[in-house]
Amino acid sequence: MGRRREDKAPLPAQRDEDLVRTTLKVFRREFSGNFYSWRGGIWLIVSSVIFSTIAYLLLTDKELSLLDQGESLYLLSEVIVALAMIMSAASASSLLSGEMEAGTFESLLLTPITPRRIAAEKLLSVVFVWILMYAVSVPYLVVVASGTNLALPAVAYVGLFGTLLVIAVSAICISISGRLNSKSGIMASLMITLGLLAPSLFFATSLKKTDFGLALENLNPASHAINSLDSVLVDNETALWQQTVHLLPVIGFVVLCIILFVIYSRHFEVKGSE
Amino acid sequence: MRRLSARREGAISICLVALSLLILSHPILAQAASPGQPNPAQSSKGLGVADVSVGITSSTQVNGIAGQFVTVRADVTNLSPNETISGVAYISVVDIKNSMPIDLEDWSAQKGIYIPSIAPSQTVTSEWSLRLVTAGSYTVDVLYNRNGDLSSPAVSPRISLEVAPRVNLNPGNVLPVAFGVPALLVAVFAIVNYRRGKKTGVYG
Repeated sequence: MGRRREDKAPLPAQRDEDLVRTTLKVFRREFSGNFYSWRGGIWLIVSSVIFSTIAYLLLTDKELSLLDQGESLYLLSEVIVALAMIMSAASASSLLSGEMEAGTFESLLLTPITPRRIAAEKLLSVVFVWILMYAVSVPYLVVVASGTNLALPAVAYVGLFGTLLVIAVSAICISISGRLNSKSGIMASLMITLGLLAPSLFFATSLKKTDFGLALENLNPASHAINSLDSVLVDNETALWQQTVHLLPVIGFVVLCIILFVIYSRHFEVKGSE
Repeated sequence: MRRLSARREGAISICLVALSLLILSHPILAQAASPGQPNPAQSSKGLGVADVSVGITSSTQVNGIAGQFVTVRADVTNLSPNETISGVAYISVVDIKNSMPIDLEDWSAQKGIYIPSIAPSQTVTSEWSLRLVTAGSYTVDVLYNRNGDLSSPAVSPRISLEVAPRVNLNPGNVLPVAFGVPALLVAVFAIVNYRRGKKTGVYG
């Protein structure tokens, strides 16, 4: 039988006391779970190995090293943003369903923390892993950009688009995770992420130039982010106002995902164990 | 010395004139006899290679390292005193060792340059930026094809290009970052887990 937990307004004094006791409790729990169990750590190590391989090849491989430095930097930035999206989808897709299946979510719902706040703190924990991953990626961006004036724009725009897309993808994946079991949740989340990344990463240039490709790129926030990185790093259009055409659709996508997140995290249903 | 009769002298003179006309009328012999004249076989308009010259104004002996950019500069001169010409100047790179022409896809963004007009007796300078992709020995030529006829292209003197391989394992100090960051992360997580394990009694 399903049990339902909804937001209830506690008394003001009790609310203050609860607030102190429960401030970022779920986030801290997720954070220590991430790093003591290597769950979040392994993402950082794997991503640093991928960044190392790409940066080393870009700078030393006979043919890759002949790429224009802006193009090398764009390639690395694209990988960082794509990896951030995959990481956030994979981490967020089982955050709630995993707890529900392990039977630990019920005890979390019994605390004074509202379901929406539980979901929000879990989202924050995914964003925090991204912030660490971003910090890991900065030395690579600086090394690949060495000798050009592109280091700062690369670091700034990768941070901007990475953070926006990680928030959006995590929000939508956590919403899915509260509705589906972990297996279906992971599959659905990864399919969404692949769908977002496919036009930029897998479509040939000729396909991108067709009406279908152009329409898909105009609708797709991930394509906008990657095209913006291209514009900043390859075409040297580093001013923020030059990127508004790409930035606004990404912000729109984030707002849409947060609205869905707010709607779907109002309450969660936990199926009782037999 | 016995003198030839006036009749015989006249006959010999006619034969010599006829022979000269025959020689001059033959196209190949005519070209050899008068190098300044256009070759009708090469140009339907009567203007050919001889009316255009291509000269190299950059260095004709270039040594570089793979990854570098070099500039090839050529002057295309219209030698005709009264005709404006147009055409395409383009570059050709041949790998001497493999006896193969090079696909310029990666070497140069601009292979051919269209020159819309060169006034009589005027010179237009064109420039190509070449990225030295692979080590080896090459020759570089600049050719000019005139519009509107099928004459042979005018060719510049050859540039000798020697490209040395680039041996740089650590450009931009990539090695410390590429090896250091993953190693640092593994060390940090190992220490964090070890300390936690010690606290909880996993490591005794």
